[in-house]
Amino acid sequence: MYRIFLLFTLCFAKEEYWENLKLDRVSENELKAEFRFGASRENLKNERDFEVFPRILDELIEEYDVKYLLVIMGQGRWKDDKWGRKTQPGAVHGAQVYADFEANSEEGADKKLRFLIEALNGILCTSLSQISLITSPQLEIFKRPKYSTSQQIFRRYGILSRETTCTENLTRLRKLLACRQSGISILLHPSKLYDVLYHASHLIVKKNEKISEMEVGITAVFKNKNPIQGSNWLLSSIFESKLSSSCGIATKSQIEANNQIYDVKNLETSFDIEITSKPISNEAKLVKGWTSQGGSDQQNGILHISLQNGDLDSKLEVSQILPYFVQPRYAKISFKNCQITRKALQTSKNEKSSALLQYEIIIKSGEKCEITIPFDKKILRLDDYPPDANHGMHIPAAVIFVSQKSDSYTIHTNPILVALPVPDFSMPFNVICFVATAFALIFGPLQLYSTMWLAPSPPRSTFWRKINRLILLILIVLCLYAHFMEINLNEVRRGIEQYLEKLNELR
Amino acid sequence: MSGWQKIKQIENDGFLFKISFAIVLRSIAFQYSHLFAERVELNSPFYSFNHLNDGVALLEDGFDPYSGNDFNLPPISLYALYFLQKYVPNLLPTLWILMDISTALILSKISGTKTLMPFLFYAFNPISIASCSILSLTIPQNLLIAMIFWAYRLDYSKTVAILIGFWSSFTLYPLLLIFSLIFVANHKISAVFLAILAFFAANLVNFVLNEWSWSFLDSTYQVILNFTNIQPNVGLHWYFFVQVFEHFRTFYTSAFTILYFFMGIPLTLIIRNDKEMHFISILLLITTFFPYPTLNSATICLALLPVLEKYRNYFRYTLLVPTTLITTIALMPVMWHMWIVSSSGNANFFFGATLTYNVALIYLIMDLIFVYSRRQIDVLHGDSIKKQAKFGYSFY
Amino acid sequence: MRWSLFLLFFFPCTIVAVLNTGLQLRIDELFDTPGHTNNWAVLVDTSKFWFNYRHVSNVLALYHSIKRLGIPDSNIIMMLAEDVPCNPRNPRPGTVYASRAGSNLYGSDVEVDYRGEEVTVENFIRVLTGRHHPATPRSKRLLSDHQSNVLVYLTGHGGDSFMKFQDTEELTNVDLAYAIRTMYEDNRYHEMLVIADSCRSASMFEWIDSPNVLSLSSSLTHEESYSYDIDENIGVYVIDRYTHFTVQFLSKEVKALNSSANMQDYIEACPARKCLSTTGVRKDHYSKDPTRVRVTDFFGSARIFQHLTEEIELDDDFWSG
Repeated sequence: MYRIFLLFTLCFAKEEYWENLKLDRVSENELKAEFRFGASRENLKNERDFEVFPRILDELIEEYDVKYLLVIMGQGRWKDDKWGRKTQPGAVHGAQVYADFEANSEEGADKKLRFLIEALNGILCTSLSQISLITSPQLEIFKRPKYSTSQQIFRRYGILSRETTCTENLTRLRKLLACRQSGISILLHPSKLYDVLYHASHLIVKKNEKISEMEVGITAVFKNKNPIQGSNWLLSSIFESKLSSSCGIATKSQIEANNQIYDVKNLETSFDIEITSKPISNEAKLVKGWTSQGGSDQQNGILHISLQNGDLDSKLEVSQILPYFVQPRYAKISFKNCQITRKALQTSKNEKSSALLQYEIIIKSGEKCEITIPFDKKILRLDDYPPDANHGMHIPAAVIFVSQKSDSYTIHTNPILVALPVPDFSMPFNVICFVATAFALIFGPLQLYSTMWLAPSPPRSTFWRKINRLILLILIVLCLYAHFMEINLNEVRRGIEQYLEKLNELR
Repeated sequence: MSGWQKIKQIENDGFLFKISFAIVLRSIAFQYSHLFAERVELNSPFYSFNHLNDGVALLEDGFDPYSGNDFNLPPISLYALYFLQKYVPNLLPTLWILMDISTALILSKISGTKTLMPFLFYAFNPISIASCSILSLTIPQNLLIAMIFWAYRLDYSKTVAILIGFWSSFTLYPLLLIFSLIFVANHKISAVFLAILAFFAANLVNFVLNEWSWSFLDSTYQVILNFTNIQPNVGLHWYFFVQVFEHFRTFYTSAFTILYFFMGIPLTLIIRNDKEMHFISILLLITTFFPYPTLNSATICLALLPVLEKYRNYFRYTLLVPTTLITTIALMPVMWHMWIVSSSGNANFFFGATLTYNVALIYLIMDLIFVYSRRQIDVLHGDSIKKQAKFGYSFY
Repeated sequence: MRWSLFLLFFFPCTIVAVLNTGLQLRIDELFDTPGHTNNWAVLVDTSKFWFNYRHVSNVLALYHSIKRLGIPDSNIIMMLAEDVPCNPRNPRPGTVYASRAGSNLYGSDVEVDYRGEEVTVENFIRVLTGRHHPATPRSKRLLSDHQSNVLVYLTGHGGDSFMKFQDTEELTNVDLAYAIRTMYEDNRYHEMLVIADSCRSASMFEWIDSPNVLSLSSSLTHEESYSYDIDENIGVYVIDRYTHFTVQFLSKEVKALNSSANMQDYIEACPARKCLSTTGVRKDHYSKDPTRVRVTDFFGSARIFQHLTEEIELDDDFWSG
């Protein structure tokens, strides 16, 4: 039945769907699972039937002229020492968006991107509206395809470090898959996938002239909570669900574990495997990066990025986003043991835009490079603070694009939390009154002396002035009494309303 | 040698000692400049040497310092420091000490009877010593102010006009001094035109230096007119624009700017006969209402006050203003520490100290106006008024 | 013999059937004909921070109840101000529980429309009034019309005449009343049920003056509202009394869409001995009698068809749009 179905689709735009799950033991008690689901579709004009490729992504591509879109949400920290190289595309805590798209002009590109981000919010249940996107980074951030197109391609990249990812994002990612109730996606147990040491879920959308492709990926590193020496992982117990039905429309549906590939495309019985492979020991040392923060007060601080190289000579392209609430002291940026071949800086006149510092560093094997960036912390307008202002704001992780002889990949450092100077949030009216009083103090005498003459005044009675002051004094005492007795103004109002109603009734 | 020359020699000897003591104090202060370098009371985006250094570093790396809104100094300062650092990097402290002492010397030549009071007030003011040690840009500004006042006193109208225009190209607010030009130029308007011409000429030089682009206008003038930079300083405006609602921001920015530029008119209408009093009042207005001041901006105004010797008996607030100034200047670092470092206080503490400082300066301006009016009455009708008469205001 | 057996079975069945239909007709006569055709719900949790876990579980418990009764995700706008299931302090990540022995409320079927810092007074009023930035996606909009019954549920911390949003802002009762008045003038609802579950919540509907709005609250203006159950493993209160008894009422009395529970039963579902505070009601702007209105008119989504006898012409705009 599915075969007839497939034959039928050959007359229309050719679509393909594949799914893959890779299970690796990264240490004695930790297991890495990589889910990858992909769909591709031929680009035929006026062809509006969608079988396996999600229609909503095609609409996104069409509406916003997207060439390459990458959205990654992450949670937790990847342990380079124990687990080896980070699975690509790598995630850092928060959400990252990288987009290449076509537009007419810079302003048109910004507007289009705003709409694209809101559309992504609707598709993925994220809250990315506040993400600050950097325009056209000069150095590389993620590996991306080359384009051959006439219209101008605009690049945007941004990280939102305080974005959380939870099961509602997983629910939405699942809705993009053709096989939701069968095949490998049954194993996507919502609670288990978030009770992990590291979680990354991503959505990639690509388009070139011939085909559109999309990929949904979920990577998680599980920890065995009850380690018994020598015990192995069982597929059904990791995900608490059993693979019982297969995804018939997939061209490829397989599980890679125990150094072999299990084909689950034509599944008759329920399927369970035991992960018996030993953890791969990581002989080769990797490129590692980490960020730390210095400074003791809320006036300024120091950002310290350390890069440690592994065994191969590498070229690192380091990009650090500095948000608008932090101002780098550019003259005091110092490098220790770094060979910088290129520098790039991007700022913008918009108030809320971030600055991007990029460095291209050639690093030999075994060397360590340290970059120190002192910065000033800024005080912001009252409305710009998040609801919990004393929590602080994040400086995003630095993104490092590593190019070695044979391959290139992206790693991240860690985001840091800076405590900003905070004004008093309960005081807007008071401050306005005080400053306006200071202005009135200068305005008053100027107006007085320029419009009136200073002259000896005849003796006048001050009786009425004293009565005025007495009335004002009585009012102040009443207000203080009401404040001291914590009389609620709403109750006073309701009391007066009731009293007036009673009066009306009496009449 | 005649007797008069002998007196001059003695005065000069004492004077040399004072100058060398001032130079020694400043040299010692340079050893402690790290204590003052990050202080918010002595630094503001328009007067901070560190900011200028950042711009020069950006320039050296090939980036445009004006691409963001963070660098607020005009290209003239940027390139001046760039060339200074390229050719004579070690002479900067000496240059600053020289500028400060020149200011003090000019001040000493200005006053009429008491030669040394302005000099003492300026040279031994701890604020100016500290600002000199951090290479603050208020030192060149104070030199400029001293030169303007000296030329003003000696009635060199063209010099005054050109210098006022030049100074206004750095921070827009000195344009208010154009009202003072009326006294110098024998009521001719050409001096005003000369000042405005100098202002535009300086901007043209900026334009040329900035590689033939106007991108610096946003960072220098728009920041002043729109109060965009709300970082803490000793002025009145920063906390206000942190707290004001977005809806009313345009209203308040335009209200404050218009109020400031209109204040020259009533001031000129009041103070008609004494040009030095007028100049000093406007200088105080510029200092108090500039959005990004430092404590050193007011030192030269306070140093010039002894010029107004003849009003000495009429001041009302002789105790209130100086004690408030000293108390608030002493309290400001304490309140800042409580807010930023130890978090045992909040921003209101620091804001209160700076607000009181500015209100004390405003009281000083108020007093100057009163003192002038009161003395006018004495000058015009001195005999017919009883000594203890109470004064009020009337329309005739 | 066979015939008699057949009759033995046949007659009681017919009688029961007849009686049932009669009963159903009688039940239908008990209720007013509903004038709405679709149902929408706006569920808002306004509090931030981990210790306000119970407000999130309030909203989720009600969410599952109304989904069970048929309102689809596309018609529910859920706003959660704090990420509780994936919060680092959650001892059981990925889960939210409303009672000690309860089931996970945050499974694979939950769609949160506004989360974290997007839950602000401004966004809430934009949702109610429909005045959004043009980029706002459909799932974040309340697309109700003049034939929709809208359920608005607010939970969090509140006080006299306000509800606290995210610990920094306040939604005053005047704001809420104006928003509802704007909805009335834009024909965005047929009937509305506003429920406020917080301390002193009866003050929240003091200023409502638009017709066809029924308002309920968990406590009167001078009273506090109380929470119900604490879970020692999680360490916080997990549900509030009013919502706990609401969800209990819905799961016991309103098992399916044809349930005959009426709104007066619901209003009396939480007396003072259970809720420890007197629930507030405001019926003066609601034209129908609550005893004659089904609970599922607001909490469930019945497909109600209206027969038209007039001709409607569809022009080209309809087909091309």
